[in-house]
Amino acid sequence: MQFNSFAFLGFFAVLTGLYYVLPARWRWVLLLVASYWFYSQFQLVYVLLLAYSTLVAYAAGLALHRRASKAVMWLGVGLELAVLVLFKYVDFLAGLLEGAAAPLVDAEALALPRLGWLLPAGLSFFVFSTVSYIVDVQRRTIPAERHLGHLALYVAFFPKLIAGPIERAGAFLGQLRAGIRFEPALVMLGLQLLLWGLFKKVVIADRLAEVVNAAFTNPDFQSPVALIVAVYFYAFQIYCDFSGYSDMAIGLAAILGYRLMENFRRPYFSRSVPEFWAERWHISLSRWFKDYVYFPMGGSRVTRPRWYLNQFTVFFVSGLWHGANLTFVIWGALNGLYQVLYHVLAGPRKALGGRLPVWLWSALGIALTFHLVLLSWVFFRASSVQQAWSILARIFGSLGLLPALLPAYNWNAAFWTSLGLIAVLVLIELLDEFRSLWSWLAARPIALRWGFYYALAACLLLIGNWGMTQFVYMQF
Amino acid sequence: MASISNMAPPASDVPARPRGALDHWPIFLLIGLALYAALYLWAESVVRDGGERNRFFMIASTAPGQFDTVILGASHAMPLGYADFNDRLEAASGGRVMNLAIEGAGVVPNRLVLDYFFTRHKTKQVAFFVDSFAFYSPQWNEDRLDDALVARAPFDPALVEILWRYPWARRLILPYASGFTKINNQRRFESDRSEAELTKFEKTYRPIPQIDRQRIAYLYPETLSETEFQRYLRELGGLADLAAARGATLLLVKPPTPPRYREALPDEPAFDAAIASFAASRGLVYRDFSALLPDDANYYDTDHMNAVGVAGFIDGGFAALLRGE
Repeated sequence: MQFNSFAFLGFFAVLTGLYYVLPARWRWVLLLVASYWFYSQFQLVYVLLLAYSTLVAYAAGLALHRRASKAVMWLGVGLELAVLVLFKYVDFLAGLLEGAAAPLVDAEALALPRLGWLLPAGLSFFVFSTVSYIVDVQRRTIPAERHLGHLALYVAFFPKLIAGPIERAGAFLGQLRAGIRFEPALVMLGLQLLLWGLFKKVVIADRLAEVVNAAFTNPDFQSPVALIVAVYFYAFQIYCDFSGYSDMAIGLAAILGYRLMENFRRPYFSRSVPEFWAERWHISLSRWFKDYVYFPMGGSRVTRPRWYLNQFTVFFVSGLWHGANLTFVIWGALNGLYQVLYHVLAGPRKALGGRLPVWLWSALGIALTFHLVLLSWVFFRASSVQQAWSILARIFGSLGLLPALLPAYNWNAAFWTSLGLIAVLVLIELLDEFRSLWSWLAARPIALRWGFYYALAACLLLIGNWGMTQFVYMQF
Repeated sequence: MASISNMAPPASDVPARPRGALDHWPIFLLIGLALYAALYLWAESVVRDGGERNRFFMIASTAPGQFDTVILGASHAMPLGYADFNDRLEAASGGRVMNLAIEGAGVVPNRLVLDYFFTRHKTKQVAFFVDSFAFYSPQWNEDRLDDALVARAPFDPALVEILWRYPWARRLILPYASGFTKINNQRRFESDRSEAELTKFEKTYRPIPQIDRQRIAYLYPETLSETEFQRYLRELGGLADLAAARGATLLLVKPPTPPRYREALPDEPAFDAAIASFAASRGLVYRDFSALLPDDANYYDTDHMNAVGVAGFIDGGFAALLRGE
């Protein structure tokens, strides 16, 4: 059951009604039951994994609360990560080992067993939540949660369960303990975010997906222009898909009275790759890696070469987190390389920046960052490394021929509609970059405010692509 | 500051009183419903102005009356309604014909369509084109009725009632009755004729073995289930009962297909024997035309008749069958 399905919207409407009718002290029970039921709709048996992950975190938390112990922390973290490794990486590693040993050993003799298990939806997200909880308790950043039900709700809370944001336990459990009240302003904000998230997913991302999928399914049969269009469209598809999901998740939580952390902040206006990752794209994951991988490795308080290695390692691991596939590894490594180069080239960068007007320097930074990220998205989207190379080779190999190839491209209604939607998105985000759209809207006359909501709803009804239900980030 | 994609507003950022739709939500909702109603009416008018081949549209937009033959089945029966061939079939058979075959549709969706047909019309006979692929999988039966099929169906309470009658079709009631399938139809201004009719019907196919194999792999499950077959055979019995209850005779017709394609179908002789036995047990007419048009010049793709093939089929015995000869 996906956020962008009518079944889910119906489920959520009924749940919200019941939720606010119930006495405040029992609401967490309803949310917990609803969250487990929601997760069971993906694969019933994997509800056990959710329970396992919760129980491990609960037991580790209580043990660490009595006495901080790195051994207990590592045991807890190990038990959590074991599930991730088992479901996500065992088959991948077996394939890598076979590939590496192939020149030395007979392939049939080496054939390693495969588990072939279906990856549980949102596994990486809830495992990262429980790992952060265990480490935070060990670090005494938060106290251990003694209420098993509350901790279970933190892990399973359905708005964030499948694709984040990777909320920290301290923030979530604090709200739960303080008690949830009906706050009209928060509910209003939640509804706005839900509407905007749906618009981004159903109207923009899933329309772009049609053009992108057609090109990436059979890239060898596409013209270079079609591939270029698909690569650019994919940058906006994945952004609208994932940030749309996050907006919906945050909006749904807000309607239920919870504040979740921000996850996206207009990333394509980043002036550098470090800004893109640290402050604007999948912020909750970036912060997770910073707190639980980068800092423990020494962060920036190490020698310069080691600092570069730390940065590269974080992105390499982040690539692996996204998926057990070499395409993700290369994607992560590429972004790690961007980070390192950004700092290696700090001197020339500053010298050049000092000679140019600020606005031009910013514009150049935005354009360069966007295109570097765009390049890495090709590996993220491609089904194999060979396919990614093939796409890039065909694009770069035909740049000189573009004027001749452009007229032959199918400039159909789907293309122009997609381009128009991207333009609308960029305009709105540009406005939002200077002043929050919702704040701006709140100060406008009622006709304009309501007109905006009705316009979004009309777009959802008239041009929304409701047939594509899968969110890109669910697979991670 | 709470921003469009930057939620997590600190409590101080959320105003004490929202200036939004929550202040006057009943009015907001009423205006929203009025706007939805306007969209609904507009979408309904687009359907009524632009509908052609959608089967529910054809049934609803044709004045109630008596037909001689209703054609049911999957895509092998559809070419009989392409271009002006329905008129030619009517001339050749001497009676009114309505072609209600649906692409990729097995017995189950055809039964629903026939049920809806009988709410407005009558017919003397129903010619059902039997295709073996449609007897082995829910993909071509219960799962086949999707939103797209009712995206051009004018609103009719009788259709809501029919959808309710079939448990597997109930999921369509809300999208259909609410008008969502029509409002959201991305092809609202395009012709609802099939792509085959618009672009391929006049063409001739040059056989490619790999394409034949792909086509068969697409249509048939990896293993043929006897249980599924028996289930859909019972559904066919239900369709025969429905026709009989409305005074119509059911004819079972096996359409022409190229020999190389037919021979590659999994377990086709057993299927033929089972259908012949079923027809005999129920006293139904069963005519096997599968070998009528062996030449590839009669097909526009692996297995569908083109204009030449349909003309040959009508003259080669189908019109005579409809005439009762």
